[in-house]
Order: sequence, then structure tokens, then C-alpha cells
Amino acid sequence: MASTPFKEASRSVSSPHADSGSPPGRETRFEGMVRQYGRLISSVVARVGGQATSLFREDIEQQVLIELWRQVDREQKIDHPSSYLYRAAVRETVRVLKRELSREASASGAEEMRGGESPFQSLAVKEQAEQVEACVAALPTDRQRAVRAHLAGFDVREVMRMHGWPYQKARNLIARGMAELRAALHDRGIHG
Amino acid sequence: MAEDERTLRSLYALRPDPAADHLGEDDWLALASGAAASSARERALDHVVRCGQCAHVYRGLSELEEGARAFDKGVPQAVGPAPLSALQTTRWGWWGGLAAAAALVWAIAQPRPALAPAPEATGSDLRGSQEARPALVEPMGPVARWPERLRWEPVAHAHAYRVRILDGEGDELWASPAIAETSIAWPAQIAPRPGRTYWQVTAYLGASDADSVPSVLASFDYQP
Repeated sequence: MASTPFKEASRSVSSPHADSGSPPGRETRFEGMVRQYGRLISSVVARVGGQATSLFREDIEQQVLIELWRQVDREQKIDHPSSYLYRAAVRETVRVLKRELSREASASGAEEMRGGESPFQSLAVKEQAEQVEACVAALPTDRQRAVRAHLAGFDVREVMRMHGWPYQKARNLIARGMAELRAALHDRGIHG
Repeated sequence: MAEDERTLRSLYALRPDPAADHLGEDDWLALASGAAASSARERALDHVVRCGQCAHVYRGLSELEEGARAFDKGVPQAVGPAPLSALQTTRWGWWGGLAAAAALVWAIAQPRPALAPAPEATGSDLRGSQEARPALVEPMGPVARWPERLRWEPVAHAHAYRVRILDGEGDELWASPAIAETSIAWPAQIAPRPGRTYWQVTAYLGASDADSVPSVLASFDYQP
């Protein structure tokens, strides 16, 4: 981390606050926040982007910092540095995550994940997956949303936020939707 | 982790991602900053729960929002997990909770690497376990006559039972007092209504509410 493209970048990329004559303390806080966002983004990418991504965490942090500073540098005047930085952080998180997830997907390959299966087993699994999708799609709208979110790995608090549902509604929709999904799969001869 | 949960999630993950509708950078920005119109937000979220890659990105932004709040006061409340109030976590706890929901709540509270793992089978997964829990007898499934009584099998060492009845959307219609019997007359205040009605029995084994075992959530579908 020492040689550091970030150090070079942060020297060569001037903060908008430096140009606008902001007090040094404020500039330091701004730069500190950029660093915090850099660390946070690389940490998020390492957690969400998968095993391989965590190996490159320091590299990712460097790239994120440079890119954040570039985004800051493109902006002539920043009225609300906090929300501006958050938006820059969102953009950068999306970019880095998409890149890392694509890289991971092409490296592992979907077929490899199901390695060792016979063609018949693969076909059976595919047919079962189609049945699951059909049964989920047949659920009423809100239950379907709740079940899809649950099956995609989102927890109750996230489902609450996604749809603006109160806690009990989110929890009930997941529980009842999953029960209904299981019953529908059972009717089609698929047992857990 | 409940085996059937794991299986279901694996099967769900095998569906092809709807690549054509991937969210663009501006869509993500609008979603994460709380600026998306409600219809656009709904469309985006419907895509997120169908698309593995976008689900990961959403999770990343959710974690970004949560993490940033520690040092940046300007972060909006848009995609990060909603806070739970004490009321939300204790109200149903008094009843022992729905078996399924209890498993969900417990499981999702566990640390996770990226996406939430499937709920653990803690003896109360959605299908029910082999533990001694009330086995519901009737009414179940399609019924042509409105039920007169609710019946269930006795649970060893249970000294009391409570019954809850919920409508098709999960709102509680009625709750019984603690009773010792293994059946109860249908409450007169709930008039016959076509469609699905849910019910659940919780068996109380000890002195505290913590020593309770909820049944699976059963339903009957009244089609006169």
C-alpha cells in the first residue's frame, strides 16, 4: 500500500475545497472522508464480490481512492460534500462490484459449480429449477416479492426497506409465501 | 441450515438472470439516494430479486449505506436494512411466534459473508421438525363446510395451548386464552368467509412463555 498510486493521485488531484479556499480543517475532513469511503468500498467489495476479490482488496482500495479523487476533481463546485461523496461512492461501488462479479463469474463458470453431475442429473435439476420458478411466479404479487427476496438471500429488515413494509407484514409474507411455495412444489411432486 | 431451504435457494439461483433489464449506473444512483420514483423503484427491485448479479450489487450498496452512516451524516435511508424496534421483536415473541418466522428471524440475525444464508433448521423451520409440536388435525386444506371446531393432537407435557387465527394476509383475527383441551369451538365472532384462513396452536410446556412450541402454520380454504 505504500507506493501508492493513491498518494501520487492525491498529490496530483487537488481537492475542490483547496481551490475554493476552504479552511484547512475542512479540507482535511473532506479528504478524510474520501479515505473512509475508499476503505468502506473496498471492504464492501471484498465481502460481496466473493472469495477471489478479497485477495485484491488493497489493490481495489487504491483504485477506488484514485477514482473517487478523479470524480471529485471533475466537479467544479461541491455544495454538499457529504451527499456528493456518497453519490460518488455509490457509483464507484457499482462499477467495482460489477467488474469483480463479472470476473468471478467468468473464472468459475456456471457449469463448474455443478461439476460431477450426469446429464440426467443436470436435466433433473434444471427441470426442478423451472418448477420452482413457475411456483414462485404463481404467488400473489406481494408474497412473490417477499419470497423472491428471501430466496435471493435478503433478510427481513432488507425486505422491509425494499418495499416499505412494516416488520410483521414482511415477516408474514415471507413465511406464508414460503409455506405456499412448498405446498405448491409438493403438489408437483417436489419434496424438500 | 435447513436442507430444503438450501435446496430451494440453489434451485432458485439456477434460473437465468434477466440480463436485458440490468440496472444502469443512474438507476442504481437513484435507488441508493432515495430519488427513484416509486414505479421505477418497484421495477428496479423486481429485477434485483430476480437477478443474481444485481442482488449482489444491491447488497453492496446496502452495506455501503450502513457503513457510511458511521462517518457521514448525509447518507440517505434508501437501501440499507430497516431498523427493528423493540416492539417489533417482542410482540410476537410473547406468543412464541410463527414457527417459520421465528426460524427466519433467528437465521437472518446471524453474521453472513455476502448474501444472507438460508435459515438454519433450529427445530422450527417452515415445514416443521420432528420435535414434539402440536400436530393440527382439522380444519385443513379445502373445506366445503365452515368449521365448527379446531382440533389438534396433544403434546406430551403440555399444560396449555393457545390458538391464533389469521386471515389470508396474515393479520390476526382472533386469539384464544390458554386452554388445557386439544380442541376449541370456532369463535362465533369470526363469520364464515370464502378463501384461505390460517391457524396455529402453541403448546406451553413450562412456566414461562419461552417453554412453548408452536405448530406449523396451517390453513384451510373454504369454498362454499
